[in-house]
Amino acid sequence: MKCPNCGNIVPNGFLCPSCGVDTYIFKKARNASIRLYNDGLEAALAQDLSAAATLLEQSILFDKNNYQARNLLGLVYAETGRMADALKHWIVSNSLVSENNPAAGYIEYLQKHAREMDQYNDAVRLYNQALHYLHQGSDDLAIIQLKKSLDLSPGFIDANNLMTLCCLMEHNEKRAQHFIDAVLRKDVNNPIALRYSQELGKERRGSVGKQKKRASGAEVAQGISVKKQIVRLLCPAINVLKRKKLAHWNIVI
Amino acid sequence: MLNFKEELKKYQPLMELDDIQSALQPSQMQDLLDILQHIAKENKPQDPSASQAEEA
Repeated sequence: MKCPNCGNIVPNGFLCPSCGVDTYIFKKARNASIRLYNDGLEAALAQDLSAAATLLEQSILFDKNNYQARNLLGLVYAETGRMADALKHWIVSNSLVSENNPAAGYIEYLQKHAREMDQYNDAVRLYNQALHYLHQGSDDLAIIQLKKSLDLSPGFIDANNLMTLCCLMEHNEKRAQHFIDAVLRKDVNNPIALRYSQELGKERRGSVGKQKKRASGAEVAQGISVKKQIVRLLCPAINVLKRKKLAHWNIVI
Repeated sequence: MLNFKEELKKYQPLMELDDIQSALQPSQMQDLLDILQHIAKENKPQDPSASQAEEA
């Protein structure tokens, strides 16, 4: 049997005498990595970027030399605004396989568009600052930083989610919905955005319920006032009728 | 209702370009096989002939 790691012949058992790798586990791990890569690719094509990132990270965990998984993971991170993570995986991929590797093209693109690269990096830096401010309790400063971050990188999913959280805490439902929609347009099953959307739905149902209660109370009050008006209008007529009746009976009130 | 502090814990700082170099260290890039090989090395029984030579 040939060792899948170093290519030397393994005469007996699974342990390679040359590189010491357990060929059985090696093959199993590599197959698992390929399976996870395929699942990750499927998820990425379905615009489920969160699932794609998770599956591709697992693929690399099983086989760090799976350069195709690294390339795709880099693309997913680039799409979600995490440019440094993307570049890291492309650099490693390029070091593993230097010929006919798309990673080289991606790195070259970033080198040629350095200003764009700086923009994305600034967006991440502002996001990290906003997170720091939120931990300190300075919500207003955090929101300012997040706004700047999203101006630089509108598709930055983590920043959008964090901004949604800030809006929900301020009970600014309209703004929160705007950022949730921005995330779900890019990452259809983003778990954080879906969870916030659920919370927003609960709040809205609660507020609609309160509005209904207020409306019914208003209706009752309105109803009473209408009845009063009717009584007031009819009163003179009723009084006239009463006098007529009493006159008929020759009684004066 | 969302608990703000609990939700905030789910957010971690992200890597910036300046941090890439440290992220490319070999120790930062291990996979399952590296971990298994590390465990195998730690659990490897000592060679009895080597220990006898040491005693001599």
